[in-house]
Amino acid sequence: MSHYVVCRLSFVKCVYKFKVKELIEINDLTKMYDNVHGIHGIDFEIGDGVSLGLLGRNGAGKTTLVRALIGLIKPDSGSAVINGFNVITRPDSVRKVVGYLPEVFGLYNDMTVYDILDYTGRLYCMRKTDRSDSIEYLLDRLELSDIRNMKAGALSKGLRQKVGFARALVNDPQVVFLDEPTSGLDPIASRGIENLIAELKNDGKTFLITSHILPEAEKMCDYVALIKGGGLIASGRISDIKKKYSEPTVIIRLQDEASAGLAAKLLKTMLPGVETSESTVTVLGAGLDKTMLTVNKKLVEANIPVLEIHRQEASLDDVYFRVMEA
Amino acid sequence: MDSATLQITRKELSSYYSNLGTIFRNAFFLVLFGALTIYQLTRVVAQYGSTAQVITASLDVLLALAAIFPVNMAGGISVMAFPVERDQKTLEYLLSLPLSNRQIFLGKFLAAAIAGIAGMALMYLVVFGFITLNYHVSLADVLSDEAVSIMALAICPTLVIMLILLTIIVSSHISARETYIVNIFSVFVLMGMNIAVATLNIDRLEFNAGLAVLLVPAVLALYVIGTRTFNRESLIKNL
Repeated sequence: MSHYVVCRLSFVKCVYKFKVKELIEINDLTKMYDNVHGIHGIDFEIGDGVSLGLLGRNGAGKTTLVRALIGLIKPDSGSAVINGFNVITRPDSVRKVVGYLPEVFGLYNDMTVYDILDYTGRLYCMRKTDRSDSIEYLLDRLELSDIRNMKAGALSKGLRQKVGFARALVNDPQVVFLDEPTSGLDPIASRGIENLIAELKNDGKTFLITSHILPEAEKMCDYVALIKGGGLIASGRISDIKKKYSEPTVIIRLQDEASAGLAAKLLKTMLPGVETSESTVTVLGAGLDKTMLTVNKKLVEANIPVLEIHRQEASLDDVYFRVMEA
Repeated sequence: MDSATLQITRKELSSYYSNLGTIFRNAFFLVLFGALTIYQLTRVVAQYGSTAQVITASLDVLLALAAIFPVNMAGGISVMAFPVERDQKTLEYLLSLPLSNRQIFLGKFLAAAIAGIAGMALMYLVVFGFITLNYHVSLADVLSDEAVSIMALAICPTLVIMLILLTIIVSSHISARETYIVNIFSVFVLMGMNIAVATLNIDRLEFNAGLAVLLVPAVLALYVIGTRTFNRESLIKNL
């Protein structure tokens, strides 16, 4: 992903074009804890207006990576640059352009929702009008207006999660780190967060999201990075990752169980990965469209009536388990 | 002083004083240590008379006892600095904000220092108010004694600030409950000093002047140690 910035000077009409680096650039980032790798050799780049999902099991190093990128912990080697600021040498500058929702977070229970957001804005040294505009927008967008004067201590887990999300966005950050953003939210609230992320991505914000809920990660993220044992084992656009690590499946629905048995017997002679379940035959790893045509042709020739035949893409779940178990 | 530091200070103070339990606890300790100081003073006066000389001599010892109240009060707010943030899981977010280590440390310290000095002023008001009303000895008479004025205006406030610094430095590494142990230690320091002043047969002015001179660099050293040893990574590691 390359970007070009066009600068216009008011006194002379000229346009400069120069290549800018990616918004987040991570190069061989390593952090050790007592001679054990927290993360090692992490490399990836992310541009504007995209979302990257960090996926991995508990203890894989996702939170360590996020903390290192925010400058909460100092990496032992490698480099990470966010919006042109090196997280090792200029962590304070990095923190100005990022927003953060930690996985385990708390709110000041004695403060109201509005005061929590206002206090956060003040700590970012935002001007009063900017602060107020930002808070009003977030309260409205996240449907928190009705509880603006409620103390945080009286809120449910889902509402606290929403307030935490709003707090991560108060400073209008360019990069937002969300650790399990939909944890504890009901499906409607989760959908609200997903929609807001999509909307904010259109405004050019970049999201780095850790999640255990793979279908949600698939909806929220354009890219994924799979982390295992502190190392990056796969990364890229979700569709590319799916193509690379998992082949689609052909699903054939037949009239009855007997037909399915016959079809399976026939297909097993020519294709690997044929499975039956009641009146359905599944052909795993049928990556080419040609396979579907061949299957259809063979079944018609054998007089086995086919009710339906379609190709099913692998889900992120399938890819995740395949890659993690490899 | 920058805005972010003052915001932290303001938030800490308002959180501390918005708690009704905190206000009642502080009122209780004000009455307890005020009454204890006044009781000791009345005993001395009953034995030696209510002259300005007797009152100032006894105050030199009793003010250190009275200082336990502001230390206790500031201790309560010092505990909020990091252990309470850790307990209510707000620390990680605070550390992720674009604040320097100095801003966070100073913001927390200032809140405790303001609470401590305000507590001390309140205690002085009780003690000096009692003296003025009952013994007709003015504040000017009391402070005309150099040893007492050094004790009241230099040693006690510096000692309170030093103990606050110590609490905040230690509190970034330990739990809220353990931080209260530092508070108790602080009270023992004050009581020890109280006993030392009462029993050592040395010139009061020399002792107080020497102590004041020693406390100033100690406070500065603690401040430097506090800001230098403040470490986001170790705080995060202890979450």
